[in-house]
Amino acid sequence: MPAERGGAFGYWRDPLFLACLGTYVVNRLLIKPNLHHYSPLFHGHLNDVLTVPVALPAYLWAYRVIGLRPDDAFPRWWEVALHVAVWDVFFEWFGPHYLHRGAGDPLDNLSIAGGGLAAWIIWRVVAARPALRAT
Amino acid sequence: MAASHWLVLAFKTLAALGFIWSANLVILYAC
Repeated sequence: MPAERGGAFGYWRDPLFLACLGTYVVNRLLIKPNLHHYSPLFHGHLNDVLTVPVALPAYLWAYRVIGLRPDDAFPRWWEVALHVAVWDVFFEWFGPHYLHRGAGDPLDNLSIAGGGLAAWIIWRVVAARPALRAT
Repeated sequence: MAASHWLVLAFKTLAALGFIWSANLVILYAC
């Protein structure tokens, strides 16, 4: 796959993706099992904030493999926004109402969107500075 | 030519939707 054409987003090699995936794993394996009381941050909102930086690269890579994504550009604002909208509906409405999994909470929507906005800003900064990109 | 183009695009879109649906379910149930 030519990474040079139309950008140099690393997908699974992206530093933000790797850092956030590491944060998720540490929270899941080390922090959550050792908490004695429910923590809104570690049991809930942290996962929501990490949704975009962890999941979006995998989704975009799949579109690239399928042939729907024409280049390896860093995630565009509408790609982030479209996935945030879909995930908000799926995880906070469809899942709780029809699959009886998860709980719909407006703060969760805000966390997913906030994480998406932060990730998009970081990706913009990295895209503008080649020295920060994954090799 | 045009018909095959749209057929390929429809197939790719279906594949993407299938991926989105499956990946969303994995996230919902596993995370």
